[in-house]
Amino acid sequence: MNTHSQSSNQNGGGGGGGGGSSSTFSPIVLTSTYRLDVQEKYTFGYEIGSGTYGMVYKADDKKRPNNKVAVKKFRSTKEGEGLSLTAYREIGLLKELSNENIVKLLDVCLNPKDKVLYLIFDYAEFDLFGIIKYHRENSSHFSDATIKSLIWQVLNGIHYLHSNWVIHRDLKPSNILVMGEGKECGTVKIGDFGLARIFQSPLKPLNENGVVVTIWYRSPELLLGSKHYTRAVDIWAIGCIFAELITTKPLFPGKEKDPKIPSLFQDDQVEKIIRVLGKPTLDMWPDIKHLPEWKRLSSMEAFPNSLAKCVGIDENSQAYDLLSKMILYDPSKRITASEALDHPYFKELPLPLPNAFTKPIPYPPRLPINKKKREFDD
Amino acid sequence: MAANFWESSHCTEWLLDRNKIEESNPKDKQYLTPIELKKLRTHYCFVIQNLGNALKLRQRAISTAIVYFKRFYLKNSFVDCEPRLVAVTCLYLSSKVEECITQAKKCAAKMKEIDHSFNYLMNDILECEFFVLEELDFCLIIYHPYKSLPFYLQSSGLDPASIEIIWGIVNDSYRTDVCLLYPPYVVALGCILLGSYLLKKDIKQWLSELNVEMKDIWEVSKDLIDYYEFEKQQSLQNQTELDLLYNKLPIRNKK
Repeated sequence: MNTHSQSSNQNGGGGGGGGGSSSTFSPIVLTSTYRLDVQEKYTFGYEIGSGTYGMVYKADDKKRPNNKVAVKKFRSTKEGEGLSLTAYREIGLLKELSNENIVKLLDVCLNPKDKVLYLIFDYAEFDLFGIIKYHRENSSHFSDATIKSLIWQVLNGIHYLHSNWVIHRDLKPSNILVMGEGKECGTVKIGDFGLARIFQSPLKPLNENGVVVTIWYRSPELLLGSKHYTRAVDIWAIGCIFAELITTKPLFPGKEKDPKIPSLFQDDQVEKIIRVLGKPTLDMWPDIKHLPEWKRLSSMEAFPNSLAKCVGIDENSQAYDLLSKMILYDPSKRITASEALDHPYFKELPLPLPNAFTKPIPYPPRLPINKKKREFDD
Repeated sequence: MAANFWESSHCTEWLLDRNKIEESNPKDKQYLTPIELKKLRTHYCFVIQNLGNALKLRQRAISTAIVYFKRFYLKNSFVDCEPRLVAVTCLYLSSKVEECITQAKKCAAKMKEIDHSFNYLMNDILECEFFVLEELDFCLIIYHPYKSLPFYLQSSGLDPASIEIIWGIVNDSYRTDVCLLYPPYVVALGCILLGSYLLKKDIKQWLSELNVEMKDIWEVSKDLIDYYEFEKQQSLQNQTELDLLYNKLPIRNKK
């Protein structure tokens, strides 16, 4: 945290009267906006996440006591490149999106002197990665009601995105946040829009940005080299997460080959899928023959479909019916978010609820990351 | 959002009325007459267009940059914020948002080729990027008439030769303020109306069946006619005269 300046005002552009006399920074332009330093608006707590973009901190909103926020800090990436495309996708889209199941961008702060940008979100105490891990380590399971409420809300958020021509492209348990105690307790918030794209008349094919989507949740069409992202890639990922909520274990935990070579055929991941769903045939998925890696797939060993057994649910249940439609091989036949929300699974008891949790919430709150390293550094 | 213009920040926060646009460049009015200021403002639209072409950016990214530039100076002035630097920065920013990224270093170098007196460097652009973002209130997604244009052109039954002329009018429209005043589909229809008038094609019947606010469409074509008139009277590409106007401004941090 000591990377944040203690100076009370770093107002580079405060033509409007920011008393930034203590700063020696002379901004390149004098704009009319009066800027408050992020430190004046938020009290920083510990670090709760990090990525290539920078770090995420838990913080207090000074104006709204008792309101925790998450502050995502972006640094200018490589020398000479300014803010990353990831940061721009996230700001650009989140400024426009508004849905109860999508994280809300509350504020944006910046510091032109240090070239740092901060995105401020509502603080979510939990994410699916953490709470699935809790159940796995305690050998306990989610209740049916919780699973259904979580998946319904994820689908609801994705339906909103998809109907607005946005594909998330990086759905995984750690990107699905759930609010803790408070008025939105138990509400899902889909986060991390760093890879999200508007897919209406894109200027470049989406795949030119390198292969995306964490490998375990990556759809078969992407694994087989498809050049076109469709909404169906998000549905596949949600299907994988659905199964993971049921069993508390990842459905297709493939071993990733060198992630630095993005076009590499991920044979272990493909095999994990085939072992559960069987090998796709031309009957099931006619367009598969057009995919670049189709030949390599043909030479792989065949297995029978064992999804029901792997997930441990009845083949005649509505849950099984929905799951198998979400992880259907052929993306053009895969269920859409709006069809999934209409599925009988969500009409039968227990009904999905806006609060996915039952009280008391057993999960431990978020802890600082790199705690040991930090103590060592101090 | 992308499919829903009506809920976008472009629609809800950035469609302004004419009075608001009149307030642009507040401090520059001490040094320039309204006509002189208009000339200079229009000039920077050309600068962005030419630099964008030199950098081989898509027209869409260039148009987005022009909208950023216009929004930036709604509250700011050339004297405080050097317009050539802001113009380059707007283009650099739009190249990222429109996913056809170029490098800040390249932007600075190309600008120097176009305007030898431009001495800002890569780091100046990277710093200015933050200020532009802030002045835009982080609203980066811009809607353009390009999207609805093919649909309207097809349904209007105009011939391919007319279509080319109308695309040109749409690109010219960015040198006016219609992108700050009207939704992009209204701009598209205003450009079609003007094009059909110039080409002596009657599309009144077709327009009346569209169920759109005709007054706004007329306003757009009127703004365009006024602009073409202005362009004819004023020598907008006369560099000596533009330099004279630029030098009337006591610009801060000039490089």
